[in-house]
Formats: sequence, C-alpha cells, structure tokens
Amino acid sequence: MMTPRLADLASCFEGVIPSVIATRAADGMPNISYLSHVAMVDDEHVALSNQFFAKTAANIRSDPHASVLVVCPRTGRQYQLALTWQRSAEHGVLFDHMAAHLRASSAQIGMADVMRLRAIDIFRVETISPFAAPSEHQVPGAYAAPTLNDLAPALRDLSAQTDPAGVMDLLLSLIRDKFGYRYAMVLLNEPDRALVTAAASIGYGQSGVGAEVPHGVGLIGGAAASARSMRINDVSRVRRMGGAVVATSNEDEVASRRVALPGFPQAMSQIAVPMSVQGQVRGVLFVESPDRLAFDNQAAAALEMLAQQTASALALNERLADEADEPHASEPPPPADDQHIIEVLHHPFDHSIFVDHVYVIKGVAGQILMHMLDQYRQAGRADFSNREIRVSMGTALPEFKDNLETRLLLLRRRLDELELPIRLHHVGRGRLRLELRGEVVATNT
Amino acid sequence: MITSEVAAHLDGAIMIIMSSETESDWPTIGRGMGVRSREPDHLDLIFSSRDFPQIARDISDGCRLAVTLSRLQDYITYQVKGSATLVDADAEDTALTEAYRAQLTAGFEAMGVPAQLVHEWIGGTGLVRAVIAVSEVYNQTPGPRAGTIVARA
Repeated sequence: MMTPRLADLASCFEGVIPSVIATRAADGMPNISYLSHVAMVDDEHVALSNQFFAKTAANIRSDPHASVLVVCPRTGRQYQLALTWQRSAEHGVLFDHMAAHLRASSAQIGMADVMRLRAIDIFRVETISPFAAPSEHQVPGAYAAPTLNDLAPALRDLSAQTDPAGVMDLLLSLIRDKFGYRYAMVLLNEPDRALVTAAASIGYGQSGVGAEVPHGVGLIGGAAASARSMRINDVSRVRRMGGAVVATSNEDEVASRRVALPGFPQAMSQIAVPMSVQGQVRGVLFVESPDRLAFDNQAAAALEMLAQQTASALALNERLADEADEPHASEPPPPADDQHIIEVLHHPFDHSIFVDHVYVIKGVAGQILMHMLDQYRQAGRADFSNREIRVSMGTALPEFKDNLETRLLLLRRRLDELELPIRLHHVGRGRLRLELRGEVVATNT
Repeated sequence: MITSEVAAHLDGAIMIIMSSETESDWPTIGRGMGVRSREPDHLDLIFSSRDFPQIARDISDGCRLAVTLSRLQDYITYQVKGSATLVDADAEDTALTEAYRAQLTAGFEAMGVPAQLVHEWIGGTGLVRAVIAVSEVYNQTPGPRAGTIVARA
C-alpha cells in the first residue's frame, strides 16, 4: 500500500469527525484528548489548536513526540500521524488565519469569545499510517464536486452580463441549478460602514435583502474582513463543542455576545467566499447545505472561481456604467388617477429613509434617494445617470466615490422587496428611471 | 475513584479513546469498544488486540493507561488514568461490546453519520479486557474547567 501524503488527507481536516491527540508527560504517563482543529500547513507540517488542554501543551514541551488520529468523513478510514512538535505561535499569518476561522465559526453559533484561540502548536509530520480498517465505504449521497466542464460555461455566462442585478441573479441560479446548492445569498460590501449587505438570495423564506453583517462577525463578516474563504463542514459539531464550553462558562459573558445564525437552521455545512477583484472585496457569496462536508476543497475552489468572476463582472459594470451617455430628458409620467400620498420621512443624522412608515435604507443610499426625489419634485426629472449622480453628490460626500452601482442596486432591490410606491428601474447601462405611484410628501426631522 | 457522576457517564453513548505508556517512539492511540465499572476503584475497558497490538503488549508489560470518555451528544468528557492488566474477554465482555456498538451507532445515526462509517472505528476482533486500577480522574470537557481533577487515589 502506498504511504498517504498529507494532501491526500485534506478531507480529514474539515472538522467533521473529531481528531484525537496523544502525548506523554516527562514520567511517561500518557494523556489523550479530542482536538478542536487540525490544519495542514504545508506538505510536511500541521498546526493544532488546543484552546483548553493545558496538559497536552505541557507534555509536548517535555517530550515533543505526539500522535494524532484523523478520520476521513467520506470513508470512515482512520490515519495515525506521528508528529514532532516544532514551536508554538501566538501571532503571525497562520495563527491569524486559524484564529479568524475559529472566531468566525464560533460566532456563527453565538459563541465567539468563549472559543477564542490563544495559541497554535506547529508539528512536523514524520509518518502517516492508515489504521486497520475492514472495508472502504463512500458515504451514500456524497456530494459530487463540480467539474471544469460545469464551470467553463458558468464563467462565460457571468462575464456576458451587463447589469449588476443580472450578474448576481445569474450567480445564484448557477449555484442552484448547476451545482446543486439550494441556499445561497450574495452580500455587497460597504467598506465605509464596515459591513456587507444582502442584495440577493435563493432558498430562504424571505430574501433578506438589506440585512447587514458587520465585518469580522461570523463566517460572512469574517470572509469580508479577511478576504479569505471560511467554511464549516459540520455545523452541529461546532454547536455541540460550543455548547460544552458554554455549559462550563460564565453565562453572562456568552449571552452578551450572541450573534444570530443567518438563514437556514438545518444547515450542516456553510461557506462564505469573498468576491474580490484587484485586492478589493466587493462582496461575499454565502452558501449553505443540509449535508455534512458539502464544501470540500474542490467545491470551495469552484465557488471561489465563480465569486471572482462575479466580482470582476460587477467591477466592470461599475466602470462602464460611469461611461454611459447622459439620459435623454423625458417627461415625468402622469400622476395616477387615484392619487396616493407617499409619505417620505428623512432623518438627516443617519440619512435613514422611511416610506409610508416603513424603514427602507440609510446612509449614502438614503441620500441618493432623497436627491432623486428632490430632483423629481423641483425639476420634474425622472431619468438619472450614474455619472450625473456622482457629479451632483460627489462633492458633498467624499466617501461616495466608490460602489455607486452597489448602492443603487441595494436601493432598487430594497424598494422592490418592500413593494413600495417608489421604484427605481434599470433602463440601460448606468441609467435609472424613478417611478412614483403617487405624490411625495417629504419631511426632514 | 469512579464517582457516581462518572459511573452514570459510562452508561451513555460515549466515544472511548486510549493511550498506553509505551517504549515506542511515539504515543499510542486506540479506540475502546465498551467500558464498565464493577468496583469504584476499577474500570474495565474492552478493545481489539488485533487493531491495537502495541497497546495490548504495553498493558501485558504492566503499563499505565489513559482512557478518555466523551459523550456524543454534548462533549461532556472525563479522562481516567491508572495501571492496567490484561485478560481475555469473556462472554459478558462480548455482550457489552455488542450493546456498545449498537448504542454508539444509533447515537451517530441520530446526528446524520452513516452506520458503516461508525463501524470502521468500533469493529475489530481479538477482544481483550484491560482492567485499570484507577489512580486519577479528570474533567476533560472542552472549556475553562478542562483538566481539573475529579478524583485521585
């Protein structure tokens, strides 16, 4: 039998089946415990996070030999790794990555601070030995990763989209129809507010458009802040492990840091993939599955390719939208016979907008909506271009220069989602038409 | 040694892992297939000597053994340590392992883990019984109390 390489064991490190570590004290007394995380560093090294077990940490400093048992979640096959401890790390790139992942996955179930990583131990892998196993199984219904043949047309179709809403809707339909994931959402980045905002989704009872996730919170916020993918392939294990910690911790400390799990309560696997282009995170693609180990390395790589293509398409749309022609002046649509009074309430302190007592949006997007409504009422204008909005508002709002398409898209989606009598229609690249189904009465408070 | 709390813990669906004091270069790791405590200062542990021959040899040489018992549903965990002796498994031990396999498989299946995966870890032949003279019991539930002593001889 060929000796397995560390890379062959990638699925063992997904955290589905708990790993085990055995060490020895200076007098030879063995110690054995479960591990929360084993991560592959490179072809010859692994890093272990062991937040709670001081005995293991003490033992490897007197005898650096350790054994770790890992289990393949697809076949059940077990492997024993003979390790030699090299060093501990309390900072650095690897530590930061593992800490961010632990923090994000713990926050996902509302237990961010109790699972905080204090240090990681880095070991050289000396040998890898398969345990005796009577047979080899594949888990029934195991997820089949997408192939290049699936990806090529998907990437081509994404790059052909000329409207940001179309880009995101196509991305989600590809994920559902071609890749078999039924629950997903796209969130767009708002760097000036240090958060991402849901702009489109599939599979959930409500679209969630407008829902915000602060940078650094949970998998989604973690992916946005770190520009790296984050995933959990057994949410129930994270929840059980977290539950054990909480049961032995100060409850007030935990309760005050609770973060609601988004979306799909039966999720077993979750992944958040940053949508980045030229080093800038434009948003996050979040996908959930009721299956364990739904996002292995291959699936994650495929989603990352889709996310990058989406980011590029959104960035290109943003740029081309600015170059679009000025809109032709058009007459505002005639008032409806059954004239409806649309009450618009604007709070200048945070630019939050309420329409007919329903909260719509705040921040820069709120200012854009007020600008359009003012133009409509003062000059009878219903058609706007990105370029014109940018020129009109750019001086007053230095933070406004980026992500105009994103803000307009969120505003459009939010107005549609709430079925309000104020709508924005995309009428060509970089061009919008304001539709009012009544007479606006605006109040600033 | 085996307090009433730990004894109650043995009756649940628990994962059993063990490591022996050994002359080998690296620590040993094995899985148990059933535990019981007939007397407060002893723990019986059944395992496969075919799958874990080094551990069986170490125990025959009179080694100390560490056994960690982690409840499936909530990760409540204890670690028991002490000197061990080895005897052949009897019919009662075989019945214990069969009940253990059924209980653990059902526990994993309730969480969505297929039975055939579980059988990879808790199968094995050549059953033997390690009789551990318990000298130390630790709380090992993940969290701030992990590593605290529960009982000592």
